[in-house]
Amino acid sequence: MTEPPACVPVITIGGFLGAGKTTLVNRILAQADGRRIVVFVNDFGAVNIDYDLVETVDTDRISLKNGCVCCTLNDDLISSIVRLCREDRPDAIVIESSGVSEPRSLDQSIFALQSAGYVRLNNRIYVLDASQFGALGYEDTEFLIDHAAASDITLVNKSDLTTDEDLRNLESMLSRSTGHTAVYRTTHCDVAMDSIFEIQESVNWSYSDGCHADVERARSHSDRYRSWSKTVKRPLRRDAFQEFLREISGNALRAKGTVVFEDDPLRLSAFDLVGSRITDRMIGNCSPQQESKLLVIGWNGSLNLEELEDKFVACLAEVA
Amino acid sequence: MKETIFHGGTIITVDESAVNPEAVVIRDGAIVFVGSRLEAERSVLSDPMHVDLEGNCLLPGFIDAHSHPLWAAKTRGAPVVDIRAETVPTFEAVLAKIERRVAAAKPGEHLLFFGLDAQLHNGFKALSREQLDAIAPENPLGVQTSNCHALFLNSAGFDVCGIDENTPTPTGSIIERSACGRPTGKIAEAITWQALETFYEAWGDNRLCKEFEKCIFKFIRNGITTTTEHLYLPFYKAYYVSALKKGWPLPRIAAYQQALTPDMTVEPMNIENDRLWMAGVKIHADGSPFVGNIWLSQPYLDNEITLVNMNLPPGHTGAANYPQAYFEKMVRNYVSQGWQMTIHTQGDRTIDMVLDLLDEIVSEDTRPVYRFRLEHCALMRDDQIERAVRMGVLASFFINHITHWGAPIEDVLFGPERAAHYIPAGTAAKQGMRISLHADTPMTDPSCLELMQAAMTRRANDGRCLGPGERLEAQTALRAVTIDAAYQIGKEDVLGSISPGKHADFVVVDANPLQTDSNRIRDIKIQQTWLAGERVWAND
Repeated sequence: MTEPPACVPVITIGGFLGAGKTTLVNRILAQADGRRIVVFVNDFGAVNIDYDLVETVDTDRISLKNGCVCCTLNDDLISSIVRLCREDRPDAIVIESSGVSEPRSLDQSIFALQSAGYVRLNNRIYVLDASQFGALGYEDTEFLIDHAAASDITLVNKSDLTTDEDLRNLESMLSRSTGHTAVYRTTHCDVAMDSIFEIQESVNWSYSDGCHADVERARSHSDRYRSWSKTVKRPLRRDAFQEFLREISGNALRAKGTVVFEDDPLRLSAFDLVGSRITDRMIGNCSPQQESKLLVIGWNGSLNLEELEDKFVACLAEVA
Repeated sequence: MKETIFHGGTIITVDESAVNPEAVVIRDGAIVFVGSRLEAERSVLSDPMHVDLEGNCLLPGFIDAHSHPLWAAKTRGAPVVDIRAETVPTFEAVLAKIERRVAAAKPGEHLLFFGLDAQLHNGFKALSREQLDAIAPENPLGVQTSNCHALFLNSAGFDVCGIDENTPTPTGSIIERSACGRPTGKIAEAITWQALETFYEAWGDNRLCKEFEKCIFKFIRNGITTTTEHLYLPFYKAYYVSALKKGWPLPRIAAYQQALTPDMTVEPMNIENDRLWMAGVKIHADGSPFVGNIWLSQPYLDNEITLVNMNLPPGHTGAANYPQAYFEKMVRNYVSQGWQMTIHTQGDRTIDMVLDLLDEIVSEDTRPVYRFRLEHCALMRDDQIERAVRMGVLASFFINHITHWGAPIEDVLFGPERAAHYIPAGTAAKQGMRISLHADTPMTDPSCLELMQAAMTRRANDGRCLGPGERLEAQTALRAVTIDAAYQIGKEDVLGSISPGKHADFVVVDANPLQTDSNRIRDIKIQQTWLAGERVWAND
């Protein structure tokens, strides 16, 4: 089954000055593997330092300077993305926001572009400088925590420059304070791109072998992740499935698939879970007996596959 | 003399006698002409300023019919810490945030947190005095709920507010107590707002003025040129007069004084040609659906959130705030003084009680116009709407309940059947009522475009639609934040439409809300706000 023409996936990268946002952007670009990624760089000041540091061809590096993407440069960002998606569609878009951007305002812009069918918010990453955190005052640390809470993933970066004890305290405070945001410890933002950023949206997913190309790549990058997939012919109970997604949202990094619900057996819906954010959309009519397919990726330590299987099976409709 | 001609864009007058005019002329703060460009040019008496709308859309300034701008500055302005679920996602995260703030506090510093939410904060548990004492043994500390109606205090908080086992519970308020009468942490309704004043006073007037100015700009940036101060108290006047003297772009304010007792003096006033006037009196017949103190004919659902988080007994149907005789005495007293009454009503049994009383009053009295208003109207039934329309009673709907709390309203509090008619703006409009919509700031942020979208889509934040049958047409939604809202505050002769003789209050937007996809109304950009003939804000 192939999904309809895909929207361009968007990843947003936030974090205070010097946290490592540009390092992460370059890391993503280095793993692009031939796919074209356009980067929007928002330098708050008049001099575009970050822009100069992003390692890609000039045409795929768009500067938004002397303002902030969440407010004064919001219109520029939206019109640039619309133009890009219409005229010169890339495989993915990365937005590196300024250190002072309000992430929830930026989300609103992306959601508006999403509802207009141009893009799909793929992941919101917040980069935090672990080595500096302890030296900051109350107002500054609250600012960082509030922004981290608005992300899907927080990278506790520069972890090599601080003590284990400080790191553990910081991570446990972040986990407690940011709800379902996943917290990763990184050095030089060394996170596997495929675990956070899925570019090939319209790829033919093969579930029957229990594996997916992206997962394989993720595994090759690190054994920190594990995956689980399932194909079923019985439709799902809608309420139970939504509850299932809510339950796994704490432990799964990512889940996606196409499903058929018992209350609407001739329609196929696609869903996507990133962190605690669940989106779903109807993608068209289907034949009776259409299979539901789903894939879950999570941390090796926190994703319990047996439990996942049991919980999912409990979502299946009774056989008529 | 100062004249301005507006032209070059779509002009939506919300006045059926002038549809799609080419131009509008204003003179010294009032609209003097609406019609063709040629006649507009002919009508001017001086060398006017020309405002080319450049394809944008000119509308009457928006009116939010129930709000609290000054109180919002007090309640949510710094140094109050924002813990609403949209910022701080879980109950555990709330506790962590409170602990961090306490750790950074100066000795004796008064600490307040706004936005605790029994329905939206995952893992919520009611806070106890002991728990808050353990977190903050020294500093007075209060945690206010997002619905504004309840406050949790620690011991130092109770001390500074002067509430102890010897404090009688004021009529219409709640103090939760142990068997020996000692307050256990939670207070609700009017005493909440009195207790909070202790914190605001401790922070001083400079803080309040600064936050008030910020709040005023929030309304103006959103194109709101008229709103209300529900729960106005006489000492508010000084802040408003001072704002006008400083030249801040204060939206026009219809003040509705808070009725706490039957014998308060309500001062008639109209300052600077409808910038601040006493419009009437506000009284709470019941409380908040999210606290559980509203009066219902059918009980709340029984589940963990209602029974444990909200601490309601099984089969809870709530109650009215005041003993009926006391309530009646208050309403009759203020009606006899000639004031318009706006009555906070959420539960259907409360609405029955209020309509019965208003029916009685109307039958005994011969005044031609009362314009009684029911505020918020969460669970108003169809038969009550019909009855209200017959009696000329108006409803102002707090439609943002649907967007912000739609999921718990349906899943946790009232079930799908009642959720489908929760805030029944559609039925009221169909029955011919001139309805208004409101954001009840500080409970939700001021934006009439958001109100329109909420009423036109009834879409909750999680994407579900609550009761498609109650959705409004664009035209009705626009009227509910312009001319019909003006009617509800008794100013339809001077506000709410672009008509000659009215105040020159406008908003310029980048898309016509009557032709915009209902799911994207809130994305329309406010380009300019005009108040009393002056451009007071521009998006540039």
